[in-house]
Amino acid sequence: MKIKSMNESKKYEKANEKLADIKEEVGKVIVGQEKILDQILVAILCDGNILLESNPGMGKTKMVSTISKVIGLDFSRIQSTPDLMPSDITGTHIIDEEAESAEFVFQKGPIFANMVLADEINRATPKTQSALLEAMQEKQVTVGNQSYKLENPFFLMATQNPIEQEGTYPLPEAQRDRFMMKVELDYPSGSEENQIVERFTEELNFSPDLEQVISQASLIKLQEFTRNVPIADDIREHAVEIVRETREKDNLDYGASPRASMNLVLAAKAKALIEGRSHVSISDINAMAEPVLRHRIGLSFKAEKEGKDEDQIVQEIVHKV
Amino acid sequence: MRVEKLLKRLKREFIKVNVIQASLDSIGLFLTMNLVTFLFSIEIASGLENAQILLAVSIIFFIGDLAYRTKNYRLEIYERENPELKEVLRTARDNLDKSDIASQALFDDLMERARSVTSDSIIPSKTIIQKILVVGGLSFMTALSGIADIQIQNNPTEILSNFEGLNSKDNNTERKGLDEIKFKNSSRILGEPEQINTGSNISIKIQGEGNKTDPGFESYNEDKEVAFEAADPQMPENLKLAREYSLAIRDFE
Repeated sequence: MKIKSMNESKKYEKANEKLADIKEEVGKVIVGQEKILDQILVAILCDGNILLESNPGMGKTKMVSTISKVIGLDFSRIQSTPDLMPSDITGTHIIDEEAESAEFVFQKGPIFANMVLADEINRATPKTQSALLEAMQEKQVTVGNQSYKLENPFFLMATQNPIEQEGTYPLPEAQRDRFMMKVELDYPSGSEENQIVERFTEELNFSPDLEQVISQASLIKLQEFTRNVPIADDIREHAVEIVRETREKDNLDYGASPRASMNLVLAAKAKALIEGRSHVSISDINAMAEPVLRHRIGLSFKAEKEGKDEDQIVQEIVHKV
Repeated sequence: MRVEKLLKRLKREFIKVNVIQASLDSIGLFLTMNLVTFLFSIEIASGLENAQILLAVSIIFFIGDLAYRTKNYRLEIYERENPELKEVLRTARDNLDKSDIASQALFDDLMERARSVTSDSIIPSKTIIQKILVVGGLSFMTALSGIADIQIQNNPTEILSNFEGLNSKDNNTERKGLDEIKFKNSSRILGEPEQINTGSNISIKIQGEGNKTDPGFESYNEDKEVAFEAADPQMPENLKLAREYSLAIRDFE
């Protein structure tokens, strides 16, 4: 019994080591941004989707493609434009001319990949945006009257440009709620930027040899592991209390949904696993509160007038609870 | 299983510490009450020794105190005193029924960290030392009062008489109280009342022994018969009044 238990402990340690290896491999290409990398890993471990807000030229595509290589996942990228149609994402039925009798066959769209980057999602029309809803939530797409299962694991990262709002279609609350986290990518520090410039200007195509650290099967196992990370009842209650408080807060027009409570606890579990802890801590909950809640709450006029943003309100709630 | 044992062990250790605390509290209570009852000569209940009653009270207090302390048991007490166990103990307790890899890793981690945890960490040494000193002081005072026989008052009636007249408003009440006490003690002091016939003679024989050589012997060497009348036959009205008065006192009792 004891030997078995020790082996299981070793398995857990091995999972931690694997996650550390992923970060190390990604670090061969991406300079800094450890916090963002951690949050992306958290979303992957939780089988969740990310809404990434950043200015252009921050290396979002590079980061996601690098992660997909390291964890052995197929990667595809969709550039959203106002004339992008849902079928451009999901795929469409085309006539197979090579067949004996002309038949309609389904031509898979770019959504059929393990990791999908939907760039500037707010430039796509609401119709196209909503085509992503089913993919994000149900892990399937429906074309005509036929539903097609997406690859497992499936991970969608959508980006938004916080500066240019003209000619955009802001995501409705219902769609924003389906993103597990909203990650805000900030500019690198001076030394980091210097390192980036050095790394990407000395070679024509900078592409170091990246090792695939884990297989798809291992990643699915890790996702199961994440859900099993133990959490104390009072710590879980603390997470629920934070989310509930967003519904009571004066400075907010609307608060977060119960889905936010689930995502907060799940994100805290993944964070504990990444940090090599065998249990969820209050600090994990507090650390994940901002990325999980910031896109799920609506600031009131009063809060905007006071110059507060979502992160400040979430921090106030965390301190209060 | 191992974690369950650990949690049980921690609870046992907690109870041990609280048995010590509850014992000291009840001993202190016993000694305090014993000293007070001795110094003020208080009789708690007639027919029972003070010590028996105080012992019973102290035992009841011990049981109640221990039950209260045990009821307040929380694993957070260990977590507070052992920061390395922070959140781990609670998490393990809340996930005892799980047997997956992550939970096993947690249990192993907990067992590793809990090796050094004993009841020493949760003993409130300062409080226990203070209580021991109090118990020691009370024991010393008890022994001293027994040796020196220091008692503040022996008789409660004397205490009452000391306060007599202090407050003019209550003077009548105090006086009434004292009278009642006197009436109640009249039989003991005067003996049971009996009917006697007035006008009869009471004979008293007085005899003595001595040597003739003793000085003054002769003046007392003869037997004398002395007769007293029980009452003055000339005062029948007074006698009747006295008798009625005596009977009234008897009825009053």
